[in-house]
Amino acid sequence: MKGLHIQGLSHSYGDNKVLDNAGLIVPAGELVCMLGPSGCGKSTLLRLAAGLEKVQHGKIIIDDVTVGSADVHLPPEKRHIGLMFQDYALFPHLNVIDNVTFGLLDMAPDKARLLAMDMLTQVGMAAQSDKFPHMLSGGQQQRVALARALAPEPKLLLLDEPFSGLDTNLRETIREETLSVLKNSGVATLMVTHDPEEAMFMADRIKIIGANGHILQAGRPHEIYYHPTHEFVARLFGMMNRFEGVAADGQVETPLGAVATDLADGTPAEVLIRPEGVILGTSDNNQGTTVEVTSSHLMGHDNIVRVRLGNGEGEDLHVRVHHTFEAELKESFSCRLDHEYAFVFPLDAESEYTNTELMDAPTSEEISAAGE
Amino acid sequence: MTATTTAKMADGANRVSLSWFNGWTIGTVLVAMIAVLPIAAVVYISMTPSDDIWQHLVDTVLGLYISTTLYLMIGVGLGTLVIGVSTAWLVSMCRFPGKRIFEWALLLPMAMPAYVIAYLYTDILEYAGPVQAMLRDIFGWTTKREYWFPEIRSLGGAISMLTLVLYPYVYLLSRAAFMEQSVCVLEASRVLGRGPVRSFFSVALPLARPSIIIGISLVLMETLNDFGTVDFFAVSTFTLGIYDVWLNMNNVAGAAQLALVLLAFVSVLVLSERFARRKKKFHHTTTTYRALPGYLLQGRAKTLAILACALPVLFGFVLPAGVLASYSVIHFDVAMNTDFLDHAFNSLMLSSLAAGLAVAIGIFMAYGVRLRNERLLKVMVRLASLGYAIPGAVLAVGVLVTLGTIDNGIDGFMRQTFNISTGLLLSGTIAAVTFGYLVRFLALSFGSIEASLGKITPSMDGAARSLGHGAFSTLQKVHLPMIRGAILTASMMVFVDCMKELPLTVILRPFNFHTLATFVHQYASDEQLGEASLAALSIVGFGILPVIILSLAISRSRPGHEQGDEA
Amino acid sequence: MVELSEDFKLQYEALDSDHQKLVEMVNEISGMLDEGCAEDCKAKVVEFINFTKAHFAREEQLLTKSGYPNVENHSRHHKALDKKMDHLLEFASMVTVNELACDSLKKELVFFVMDDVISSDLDFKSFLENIPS
Repeated sequence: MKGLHIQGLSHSYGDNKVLDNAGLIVPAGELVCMLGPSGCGKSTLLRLAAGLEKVQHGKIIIDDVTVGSADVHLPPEKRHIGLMFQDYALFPHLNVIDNVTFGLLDMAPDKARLLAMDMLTQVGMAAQSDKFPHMLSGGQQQRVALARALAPEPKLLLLDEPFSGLDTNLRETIREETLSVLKNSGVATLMVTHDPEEAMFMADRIKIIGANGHILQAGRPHEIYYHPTHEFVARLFGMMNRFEGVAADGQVETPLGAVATDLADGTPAEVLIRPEGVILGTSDNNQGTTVEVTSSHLMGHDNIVRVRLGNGEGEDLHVRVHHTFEAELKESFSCRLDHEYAFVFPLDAESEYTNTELMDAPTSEEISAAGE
Repeated sequence: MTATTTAKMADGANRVSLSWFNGWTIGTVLVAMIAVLPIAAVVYISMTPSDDIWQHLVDTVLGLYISTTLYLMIGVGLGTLVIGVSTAWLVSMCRFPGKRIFEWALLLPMAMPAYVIAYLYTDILEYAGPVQAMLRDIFGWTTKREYWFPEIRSLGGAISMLTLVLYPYVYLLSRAAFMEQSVCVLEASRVLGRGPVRSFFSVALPLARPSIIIGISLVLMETLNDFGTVDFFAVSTFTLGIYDVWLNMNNVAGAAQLALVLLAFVSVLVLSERFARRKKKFHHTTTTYRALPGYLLQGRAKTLAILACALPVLFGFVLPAGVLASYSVIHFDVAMNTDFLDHAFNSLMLSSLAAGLAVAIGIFMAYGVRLRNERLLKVMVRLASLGYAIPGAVLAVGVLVTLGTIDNGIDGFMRQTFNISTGLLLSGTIAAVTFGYLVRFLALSFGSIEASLGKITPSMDGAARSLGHGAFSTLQKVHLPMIRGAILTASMMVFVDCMKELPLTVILRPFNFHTLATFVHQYASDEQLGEASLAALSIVGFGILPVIILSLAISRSRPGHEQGDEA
Repeated sequence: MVELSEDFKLQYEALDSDHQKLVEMVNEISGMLDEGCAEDCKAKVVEFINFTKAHFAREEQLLTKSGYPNVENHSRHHKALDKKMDHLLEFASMVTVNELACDSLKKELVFFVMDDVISSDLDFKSFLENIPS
């Protein structure tokens, strides 16, 4: 198979296991994204694929050739890969065009120059070919780094958090441009990121890697978001409303209504509901549960409304509503569930996967920051 | 589809056991081994004495050596502490006329080898010198017995000389520490009701302590290394003792035993330096660069501050350099007649050779460690850079013993197999001197190259490697151009230190071979300062180079500060 | 076109031939979509899914019989793929009217076969080496 094939990769630093039997494939022309919290070993996986570190256990195969395993190590310069770093790593002593031709070793200089100019034109940087990296903005540096990585026509492109250095507005533009350049080139691309939104936007397939270096789920962005098979995966995309219960008759009761499950009866379970899965309605019709508004925070297009269950006595829920929905403090609503956004997981789910603070913290902070 | 059971293995892939960068590891280990040889030799020889001179040494001179060395260390330590820290605090925290000049001028005495000012001050202050002559004229004394004048050729004299030229180490490091201190911390202290002086003692000084300790450790290592001054002043320190036991008593083992005791002193210094460096990492917290408070000094405080900064520069550099310059002019013809050009050529040649090699090896080791971040390599590299702490006289013993052994080995082998006697191939050659220089100054080049390589993010390596460049090509095309400045600085530092180096050169040089330093030593010891003046002035001239670089580096290291002052 | 290269083989004839068949079916479906025979594609996808399920059953039986210790985990993994097969079917019913769905189906089939099915079977490759085929 053309592209990258990783088999049973495990890696430890001392006693710390960062990768545990990780496997993946990236066919030519596809973009696969490893998504996971910081320190979960996704960068290690990238470094192993690049040959910057030696494989301890497992196998790395590029275009049907084993380039790394416990007893084979092909140095990075012989792997024909492109590598793009978070900090772009442009050579400061070389100008843009020399940076791009740096990898065109076996080519006649004038031919290399032509090819490099062509790459720069593709990323919209041809006009800056004489400039030095320190004269470029972050977005421009990113484009040059992309051109440099793609110029030698690598068999595989590895991207390490390629957009995290850019500010929000620029990030979206660059993301789109990068994606179209990558699709044009038809290269197999493996990207690692901790930003779920970025992964969803870019990837044909997302691989979720947990804090213990284990791959938890793989699938299309849609699958990952709407059918998480793991509590950890569900929590990746922001805060969740959580209830505990016990499976009975193929469902778990929550204050918002029962949620279907295939867990065996009597299994302790937790129900996670995305904020958009809670639907508020007028409290007159007496359907659903009554909740009372405690606060409201504008999040751009949406509002996050905090409501309290049980006439203002019970637990707090987060509800995502359209920004035009102006809630009044202490206003009462009836509240029901959109089952598409409600997920049931066994409660005793291996506690090793539940280290979700890293992913949860920013979002809840965002909420309070917006509120205060 | 073929039915082979094993996957294809890539062309150019290596079995891990024969990995491609082992060359760097082996090389680094080898270099470290060679660099450690002289030190190991000293230890070995001292453990296996041919005749037992140790008891004799203990009975006669050892006590004297120990006490003299200790007094010298205490004296120089205190002297450099007071001068270094106080001037550093004044120029970094206060505002007074001339501050901008003192900032760099206070470094100038670094350019003066201690032995040069020792000869000069002896010349000026001895009985026949201009100062005492003037005093006799004024007061009408005629004989030495009629008045008291401090004897310059004494322990006190040696302490003063060494203090005058070594305080810049303490100044440099404590100044850097004061500059790094967060303004906020100092302002907080002042807001909490502490005045400048109390803030200094309760906040600034404790925060700078690790840096000051590093400075003092370096000063004391240089003190132990000094040979020219103590030799000229006949102050019986260990360094002098080693020289004496070895060359006058002709007892290598005894010299090695003394050297071992000296190494004990040194290891205390090395340990305290390392410890302080580790501690420094904790202290360095904020990076908020803002103009430091700058207490405006007025009246008596202003005068005192100016004096405190001016005197060390005056006595440590301006006066001796001035005298030296005037002697050079007066005695120019005599000085030129002493084969000055030959000696200058020897110095330049040896120093360039050593600097080039030290930098090349330094790059090799620093890149080796970067490629392969392994404990073994790190330990090896530490060992290889031990030389900076080892006094020249000790190293010289080690180098001679090592090379002697190698020479005898080769000679024996050649005699046995070819019946040819090769004699001494390495001992007493330029190669021996260069080897000594390398062992002593490798740490200097390695340290600054490693530091500057450390500033290049590892993703640069990753990028270059993934673009098809091997380890060596990456070094050549990416790292070397990026650390050009550090390479230049490192080679210059080593170059200048080699120019100034005395004890190693005196002991290891070929017969009748002079560098500027050994020439100055020989003539000035004979009180023929006029003949030696031009050579001495040249050494000082080269010595100014690193001072310039250092002062430029200081002013660059704190961008906010510089702009604030310039505006 | 995907091919079952050496690195994906278990060196266990019964399973490898199943995998080979799956890969061939994926290529066939892709080919149909490329040649504009999208109408017939749904039936082929149904066939593919049925074959996959049968393969899962055969595999689990083999693993249980030969005492593979992680057989429970693996059958759980198979079960989790049910949802994915539902999605494949959904895409397949849309290919005639939706070009994006057509793309997605091709992609998903490749990932499904190569990553979800075959790659994860490689976990017991070393186990199979020690039992006769």
